Amino acid sequence: MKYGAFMASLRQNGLQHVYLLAGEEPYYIEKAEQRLLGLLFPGGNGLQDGLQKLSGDLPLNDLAELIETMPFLTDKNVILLRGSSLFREKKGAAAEDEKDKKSRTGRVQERFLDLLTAMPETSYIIFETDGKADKRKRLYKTVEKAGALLEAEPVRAWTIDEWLRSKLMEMNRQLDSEALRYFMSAVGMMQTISLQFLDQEFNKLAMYTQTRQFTKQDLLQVFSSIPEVSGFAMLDAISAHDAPKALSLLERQLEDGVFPPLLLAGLVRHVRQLWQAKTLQNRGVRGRLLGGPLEMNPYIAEKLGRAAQTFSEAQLHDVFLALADADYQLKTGQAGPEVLEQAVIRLCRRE
Amino acid sequence: MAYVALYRKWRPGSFRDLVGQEHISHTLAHAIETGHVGHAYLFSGPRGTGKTSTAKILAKALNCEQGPTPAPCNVCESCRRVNDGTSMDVFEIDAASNRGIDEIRDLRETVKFAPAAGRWKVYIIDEVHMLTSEAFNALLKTLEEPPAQVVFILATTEVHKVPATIQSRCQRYDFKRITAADIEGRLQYVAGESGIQAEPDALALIAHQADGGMRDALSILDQCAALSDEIITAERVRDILGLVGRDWVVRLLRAIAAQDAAAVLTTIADLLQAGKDLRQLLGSLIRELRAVMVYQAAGPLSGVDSFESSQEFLEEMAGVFSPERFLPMIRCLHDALQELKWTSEPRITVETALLTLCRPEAAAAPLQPPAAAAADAARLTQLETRLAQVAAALAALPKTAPAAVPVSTARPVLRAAMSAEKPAEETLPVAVTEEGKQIWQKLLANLRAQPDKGPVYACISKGRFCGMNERQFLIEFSSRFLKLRTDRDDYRMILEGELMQISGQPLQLVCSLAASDEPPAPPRPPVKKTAKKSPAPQPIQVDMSQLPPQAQQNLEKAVSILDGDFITPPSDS
Repeated sequence: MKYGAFMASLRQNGLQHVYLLAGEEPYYIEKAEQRLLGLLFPGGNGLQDGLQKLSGDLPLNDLAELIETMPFLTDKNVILLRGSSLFREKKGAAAEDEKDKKSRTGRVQERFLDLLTAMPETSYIIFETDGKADKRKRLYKTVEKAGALLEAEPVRAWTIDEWLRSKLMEMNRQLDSEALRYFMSAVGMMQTISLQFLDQEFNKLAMYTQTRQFTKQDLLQVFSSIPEVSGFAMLDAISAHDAPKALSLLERQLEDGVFPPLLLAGLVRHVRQLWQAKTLQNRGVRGRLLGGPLEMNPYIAEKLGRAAQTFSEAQLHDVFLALADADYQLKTGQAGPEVLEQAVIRLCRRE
Repeated sequence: MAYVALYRKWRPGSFRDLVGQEHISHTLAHAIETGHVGHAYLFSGPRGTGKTSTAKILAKALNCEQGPTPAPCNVCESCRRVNDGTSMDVFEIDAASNRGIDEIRDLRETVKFAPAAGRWKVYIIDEVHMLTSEAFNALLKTLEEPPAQVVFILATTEVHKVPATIQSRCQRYDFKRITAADIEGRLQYVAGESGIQAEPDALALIAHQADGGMRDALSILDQCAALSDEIITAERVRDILGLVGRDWVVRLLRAIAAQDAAAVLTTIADLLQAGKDLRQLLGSLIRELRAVMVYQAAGPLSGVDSFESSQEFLEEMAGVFSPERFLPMIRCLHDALQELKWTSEPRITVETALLTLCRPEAAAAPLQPPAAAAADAARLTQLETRLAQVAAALAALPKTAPAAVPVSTARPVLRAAMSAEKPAEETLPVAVTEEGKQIWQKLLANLRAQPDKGPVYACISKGRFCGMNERQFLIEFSSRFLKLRTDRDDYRMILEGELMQISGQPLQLVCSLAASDEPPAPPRPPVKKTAKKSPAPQPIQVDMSQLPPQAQQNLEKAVSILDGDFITPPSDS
């Protein structure tokens, strides 16, 4: 079940006795856990006595015993098991060990599975695992049948809309169109999107301004800088021959403490890709077809191809050699970041 | 009472006093007002921008007897204790000296106890990036679920060294460099309150030198106040900091632009007489040239530091120097700066470097007005195009067995295009003689013996000696990159110098590319392997007049590009 469906099922179907919260997006798992604990212990009443937090691998027998224990000084017995490998796929030697163990502990597992299907009225168990759960496991199938599952899939730039809408609704705020464009382009440049990070940033934003609508200026003021966002934005500015923007972004990254050889590597990669796209275009490969040979998303390759048309081969060749020199000079202390600035200036020049 | 340094005395006591970080003070103040205090904060930013001060203000704001309030009173017992560093509930930990897992274990043991006197226990971990990875892991659990009424404030100058797992559990605030104007304003206030008399120029200079850090600015002011008799002047600040005045730099750059060697030498003499540091002078010249380079390319930029440079001067210099000249000039100054570390005659090193800058041939492009440069560039491009055409025509001619070693390759057009900036060298007949081989071996041995010429040796050792005559020395490379790299002026100068030393006569280095070399090709799309090669398709006749006009046009275009015959497409089977 995806996050939205899972939360809706909590509202509609009420509480089950068995839950599995698995996936690569810890933010969703955390939110689902908070919601479950909120429903199990309304107002936090009984949380101290009724909740047992465990982590790592526990013998099934011990786990079964905990489930069967009657609650003390409270009406619920909730077990929260984090980081367990019970739902993970085992490979190689670990899989062999598992087979051996299964043959020895088959009866224990059977008993545990039976217990999950017929949980005591007062007991609840929540399994949490980071990463995908192995759907072929009997335990997984049993939890699916007897309880509810959350599959916390990582969010991508093109699926962030839903999260953003719900977050803004929760804060009762809005983003104006310019701010929304800026946010989407910044998120699009992130290699991995951390919802925890974005959640914190929006909380900060809500504290920063009391107006109902956030502007791009608010975002620029409050959002923490992410080097990769500045890096990609700088390469975009170079592609557009926008020297002032590219130089400002280079400066910002240097101020953020990004190691100059890393910036140089990014520039080399970009020049190489532009040169490759240029060579391919000269051979008649154009538009989205560039994606194949360049091993890129066709849309991005097309964009790169358009940018490559604005550079001459001689320009790319010269900058490529200049970057090779800059690499040696930077690493031997013979030059400072001005060699990067010079490379950016040469690339931004229209020839 | 012992003297308290200005930066300690004037440490901001409330969010209102924080300079240049309004986005943070405003957010935190509102969080306190609304009771949305986070359990962990990460403050990152350059030194002297107010991270520790903000942490202390937050601690006071939470525990103030009048609060929690965004404006701590600084009078009550709790505030005073935080200011003195004697509070039982505010723990300031220096992670640089308490970086191990044992210290973090101790912290975990104490964190569960309730605050002794105030409402909140605040842990300020300064320079948190210095913690070991084990210590970070131990801290992770506590950060994830800290006991109620505990706030962690982590401060660091190098946020990229803090693990992502820690960062994701904290609310991150980026402290920005404080602008020179903000620093200047604060310096004026502090100077006024402390009874220090200072010229506005002097304060502006201190603000620039502080490089965005208020602590550095106040320290410099303190130093200048101690060493000045009455009023702090800009001249006095320069003397104390050992700075080379801007006037000197302007004078020198104008002399270089005018190629006035005499003016350069007299300026250096005057500088030395005034007791200025030559390293400072070279550093200032590098910064100034960099500012001119950036200004010429992008105009005035708010984000990019242009140091003290005035816009008029930048504009003037940007009109004089050609864009290609900056990097060689900066490189020359960097080399001189490196050489200053070892030389016994620093004056000669600096003079040589600056005289080199005066000679236009030492720079990449001649010193001339941009319009004339553009006209010359156009002429050069024309000549290059003609040369490429001639080279292409020559390559198209049937090949005769050359008596001399061939320097041209199988792809002259592409080569000409690739090295468009340099016309092809005329090669005289050459022969591989015993003497030539000896010179080649000696050249390699000489380069190998000199560690500073390691990169040149690395390039040249991959080449092959192809012969020499009384004027030229030929080397062939199998790699295009190595050939191009060796062909560039810096390596060429070294190699020709060595050749001169070995052979006793000036030899021109000629690099060529082995005939089998191909230009760098991008990765090809995977092609399915076919079981056997199909026979060459037979051309077919197409009557274009039968086709619709659009198709006819497309076909004609395709024929003009592909220049081939029409064939029947092969069937998929």
